[in-house]
Amino acid sequence: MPNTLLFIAIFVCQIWLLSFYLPHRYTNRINYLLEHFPESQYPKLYPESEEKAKSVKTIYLTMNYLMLLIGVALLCYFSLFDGSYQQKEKFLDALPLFYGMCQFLPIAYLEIAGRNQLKLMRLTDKRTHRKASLTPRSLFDYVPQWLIAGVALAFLGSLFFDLYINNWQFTEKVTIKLGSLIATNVLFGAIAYYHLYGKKCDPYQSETDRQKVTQHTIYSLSAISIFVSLFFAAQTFVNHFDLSYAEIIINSLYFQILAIASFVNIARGLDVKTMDFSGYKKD
Amino acid sequence: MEIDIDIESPIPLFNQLVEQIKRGVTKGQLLPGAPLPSIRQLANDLAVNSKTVAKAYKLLERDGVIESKGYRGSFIHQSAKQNCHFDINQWLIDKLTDAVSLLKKSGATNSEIRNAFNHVINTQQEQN
Repeated sequence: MPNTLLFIAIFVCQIWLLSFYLPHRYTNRINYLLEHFPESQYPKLYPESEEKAKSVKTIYLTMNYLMLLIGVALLCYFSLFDGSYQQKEKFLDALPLFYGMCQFLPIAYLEIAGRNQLKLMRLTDKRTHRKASLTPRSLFDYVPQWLIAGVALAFLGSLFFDLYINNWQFTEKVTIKLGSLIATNVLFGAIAYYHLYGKKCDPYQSETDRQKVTQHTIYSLSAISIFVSLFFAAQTFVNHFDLSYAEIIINSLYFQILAIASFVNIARGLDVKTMDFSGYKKD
Repeated sequence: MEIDIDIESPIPLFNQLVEQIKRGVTKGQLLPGAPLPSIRQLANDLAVNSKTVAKAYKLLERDGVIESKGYRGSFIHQSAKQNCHFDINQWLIDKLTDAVSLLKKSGATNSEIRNAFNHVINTQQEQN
């Protein structure tokens, strides 16, 4: 019974956070943009049309409501109508993880739609003058050295902890976890590199805003990398000591923290109230 | 300092880069020892081919305006300000005038000198 209650509490929190609270925060940002920076005054902000932005927002919200309904249905089925937690333990362990992945689909849609808009912005940009700063950028201009050291320590700590639990043997499980950790960090490194030295995605974005976005993205990536390493270590711990109820908490918290980290990154790096929108104005 | 290039200007992009960096050095906006962005960073920021920036950096290095320090990147040369005043075109004209005068003194005709000059240029190009 306590395990069932714990599962319900964590799962309700996950449903509310990822499919209701954060989507509403995202749509509030879109509403603010539409209200304060309309197409009539800021046409470059809407390479297709203002209507397109509104339809993206509607689809995004609909997808989230759908996920919310699925979440509530799953919750009802597994906790209220079917109380046999022990029988379905393995499935319930994986449920927050699988459902969490599905909850990220609307964010993925929003990201793809945003990328398409930026691509259109670049295609419709007819300016012949291009500017660039002659100041070189480096990783440590954006994040302190201790944070990167923290990333490396968390990675090594997670690896050594896994090896310690497995009697210093490179078992299949350890190898898979090590591979996943390396792949995650390489991906994060590539994203950070792209932000530092890659092409400017938004041609009208001011240099100050770009610097701010880069800084917050690298901070978030570093924090998520540390968190992923800790998540892997925690998973090893609960598997080793057979604490299956704790696995549900960890799996669910994993997605909740990831969602919060990505939102905080966007909210701070791209704070619509402090961003410079002058570049999107009509010529 | 900010670089501003015009992609529709008849002046080649690498020349615009070279001239603006030289102007920055002359005006004191770029001081000796100041680091420059990597070729990739500048090319991506300006949305131009990295070969364009590489060519500009190569010319600036040849003129002694910047110096490359391997993996550490490119920096403004210690004598960049003096080297900026160096006019490579004038230097070439002076050198060629001396050479042509010498050849004419030896009895070579204009067409012989022109043919020999073209031959040397073409051979060098093939070797490169």
